[in-house]
Amino acid sequence: MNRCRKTLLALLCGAAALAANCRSSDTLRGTTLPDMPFTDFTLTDQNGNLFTLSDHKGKVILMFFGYTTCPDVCPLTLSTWRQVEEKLQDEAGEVEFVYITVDPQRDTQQKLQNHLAVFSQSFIGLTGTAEELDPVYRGYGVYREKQEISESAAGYLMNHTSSMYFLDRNGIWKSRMSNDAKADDIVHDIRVLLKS
Amino acid sequence: MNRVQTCCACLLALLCFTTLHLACKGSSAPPRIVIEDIWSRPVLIDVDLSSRGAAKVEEQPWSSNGVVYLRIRNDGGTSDRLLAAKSTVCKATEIHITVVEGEVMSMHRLHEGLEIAAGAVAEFEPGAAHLMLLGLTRSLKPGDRFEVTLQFEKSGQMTVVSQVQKP
Repeated sequence: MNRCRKTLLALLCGAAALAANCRSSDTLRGTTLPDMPFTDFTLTDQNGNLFTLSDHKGKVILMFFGYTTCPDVCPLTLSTWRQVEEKLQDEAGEVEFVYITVDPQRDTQQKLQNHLAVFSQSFIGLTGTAEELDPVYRGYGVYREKQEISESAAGYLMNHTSSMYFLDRNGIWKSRMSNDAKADDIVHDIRVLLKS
Repeated sequence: MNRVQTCCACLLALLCFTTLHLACKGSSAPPRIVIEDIWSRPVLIDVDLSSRGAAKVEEQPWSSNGVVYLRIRNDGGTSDRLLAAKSTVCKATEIHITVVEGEVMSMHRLHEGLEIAAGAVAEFEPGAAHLMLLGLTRSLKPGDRFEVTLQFEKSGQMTVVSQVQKP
């Protein structure tokens, strides 16, 4: 009887450990959001082509809002994305890396093209008019504010939301991560979303 | 006897002065600045403006910016301050710091520069303090090297070389 109990207990412990393990490998590491349908939009990419988000259903979307004259945090995110793309190898074809400007005044198509080409030819850089971009910022809760700097050659800088967003294959906005997220964590969450 | 006493007094005074002077000198050894791990990110700009002259560079309205990261160590006995920096690859160089509060990122210019206390290390790294290269006059490609001159309050000018890393 005692042996039976011990065996049962060991089996239960094993099953619990397996379940916990399964849950951790399938659980998103980013901050999850209540499943929110995406806000659709059409903007212009760095090559002058129209990009409509809903056309890319079926792929996982990684989205970031930044500006090309930022030399620090925004390129840091793109640099991490480059590592993510390399780690994903063939799976990268199932992912769209979408960079949307928060500074359309300065970020022309040409500027976006040059900026993104340094990191990857497959990254998509989007810009548009204020009328096109404002609903996108609102839809994704993106804060952006022009900060004039006195006695600086920078002219102005942009304060902005620096998180990156994850959308699954069905266009559901699932989670977010901070701009300094590790490439391995991003790859993990992309794989979870690719399987879901 | 008076002369001997006077000589002894003089010698004692000289000894005291020397001891005090050395003691003071020891506690206020000058700053000793060491610059390490200098690197930049690659930046591609439309056209090479470096050969067009300053006037053309001034006309470029939406210039491209670059960055320099480095570590400044002060191995000396007193603090120093990085006041300014300049480089031949851009129109202006400023000392900036990135601040992330919640989800919002903002950058600020450090108008007064940055103090490096005696024995301290100042890290200029992604997401923190950095040298901002404003209005690049040429592209910065991986492997490129360019000079950056740092102006310190006490140590004066120091010219170092930054290497452009892979993206």
